[in-house]
Amino acid sequence: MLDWAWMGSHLPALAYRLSQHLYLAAIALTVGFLVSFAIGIAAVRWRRLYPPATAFSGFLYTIPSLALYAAFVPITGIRSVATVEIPLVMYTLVILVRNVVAGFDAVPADVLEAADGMGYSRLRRLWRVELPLAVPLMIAGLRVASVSTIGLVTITALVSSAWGGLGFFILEGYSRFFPTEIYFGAVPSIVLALAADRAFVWLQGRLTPWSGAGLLTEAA
Amino acid sequence: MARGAGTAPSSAAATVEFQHVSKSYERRGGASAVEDLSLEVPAGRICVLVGPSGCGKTTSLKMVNRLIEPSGGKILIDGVDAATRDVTELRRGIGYVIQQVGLFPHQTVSENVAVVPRLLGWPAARRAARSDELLSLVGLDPSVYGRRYPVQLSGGERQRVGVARALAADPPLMLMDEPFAAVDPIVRASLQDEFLRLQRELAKTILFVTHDIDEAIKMGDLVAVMQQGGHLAQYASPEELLARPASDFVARFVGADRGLKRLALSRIENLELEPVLTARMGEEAADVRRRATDAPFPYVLLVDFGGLPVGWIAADELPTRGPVDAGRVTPLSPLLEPHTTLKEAAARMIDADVQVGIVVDRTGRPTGLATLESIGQHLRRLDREVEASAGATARDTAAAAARA
Repeated sequence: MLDWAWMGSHLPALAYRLSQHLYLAAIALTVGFLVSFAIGIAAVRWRRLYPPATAFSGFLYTIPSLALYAAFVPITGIRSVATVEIPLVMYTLVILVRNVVAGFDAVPADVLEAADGMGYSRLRRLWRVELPLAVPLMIAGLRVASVSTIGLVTITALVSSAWGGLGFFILEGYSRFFPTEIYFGAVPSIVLALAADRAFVWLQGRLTPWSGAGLLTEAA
Repeated sequence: MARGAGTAPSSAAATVEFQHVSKSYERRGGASAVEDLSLEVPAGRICVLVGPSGCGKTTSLKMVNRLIEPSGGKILIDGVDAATRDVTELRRGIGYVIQQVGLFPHQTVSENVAVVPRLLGWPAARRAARSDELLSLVGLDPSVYGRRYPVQLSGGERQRVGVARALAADPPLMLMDEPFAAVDPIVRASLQDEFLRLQRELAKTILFVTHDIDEAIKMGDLVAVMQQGGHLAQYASPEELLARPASDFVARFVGADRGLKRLALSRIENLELEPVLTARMGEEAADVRRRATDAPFPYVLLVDFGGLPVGWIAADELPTRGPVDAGRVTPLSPLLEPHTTLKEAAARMIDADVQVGIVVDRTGRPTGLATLESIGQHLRRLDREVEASAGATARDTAAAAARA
């Protein structure tokens, strides 16, 4: 079944590919979140931007990922980190733009009216009221985006063996008909995705103590 | 209650004056238009804006703190045109309470109460002290509620926090937009009562919007009945509104039961009471009979050795001799206290075997009788007073017109 000896001898390679996987996913999520945040703030300020912003991010999702990678290779070059990151970032936007905008959108109207009525300036209201209240939906978006991005990073192995993170083992194992190597890449990738998801759940608990389900039971 | 005197000097109440205020919309959205509203709210009074939906009452209220900017006219607060003031500074000086409360879900109750003080840059210690003081004032123990989040509160508790928050910086003017409409009737009544009790101490100028005429009559020192388009149909005290509605619209709006509603405005202590004839337990029946012969009311009230009412004895059923005892008593009529409203008194009297109310003092001893007839007389006396003051106002107006 599984070739344990092969796995033992490839632990250093696993460590390298795992860290590469994390690095690629982290950059994609960070850049994707910053871009989505900017678009979200702009959509809150200028409501007319909201439909085109979500329509565009939805359109991105229809492009086959393989085609997107292929399209960027001639432009940015096979060795460039941009070749793998640009498509990854674009796919995070699909989820994050919607969730950031929905997060701001979910701030109750009465809270905004009260803030205005008590003399909050526009900017102060955005940072002190709207932003904290948008956090739960933003983090919900980051959870989904992190899981999907960690999965997508494996595809980057197709661009070049220099990339791919844990996907390198999956692709190589497939081409050599060597199941051990496929598992060697796939299982850590799954674990990584689950760990990222839990990490965001923990972060949400820390950032939004006011919305936890624990509060409601405590009050009862 | 931890009412620290001196932590926040009570600022004087403000006057508010609407001068030919109008608001028109090119595209009709949620808010209603207002045409030429002029209204003066004296300092320290509760002025209720009431009317059917679409009458522009909320629009008028929101023009005071400029959540809606008027299209024409002026609103003067303490004589200063609100339009000339910095808008955030203006709003920080006006308490604002809304139906859905709008507490910040991400802040604790204490932080919510201290929102305006924080905007005004108060130091943390002063904010915390003020927040505790206000929570106590609205009946919430700060040590229990201070650290909770809004999601952990009941509707009534949230509304109390909303009132505490509006009072935090001790504003001379408060705007309240259907503040008690979202809670159930029992909680609403207790919030109204508590707010009136608070207001007796605070004496703020309050503009209060509601669609509920009963609430308007209960809460208002002055009631402005508004009609479609912000047209002021009548602006008067609740008593005058009910006694002399200025138009068919007002009469319909206050309702066909306005006579009953008036009863809610007066209390037993305002009535002239009928004397009550009492007989002490064990007293010689012959003596009682003698006293009862000339009395207009055919019942004698039996009281125990402590002077507390036991029951009625029909005068013609008194024994001819021997001591009076509790053998033949008819059940008691309702016991009414001086602060009982005439509405409650009448309701309870109608239900009783002997249709009078026994008015008792704080020790429970009877001081007199209230009858349905005495209530009717009281209303007729009020009619004459309202008539006289309205006549005086009309004469003043005529005299002023003659001078002009």
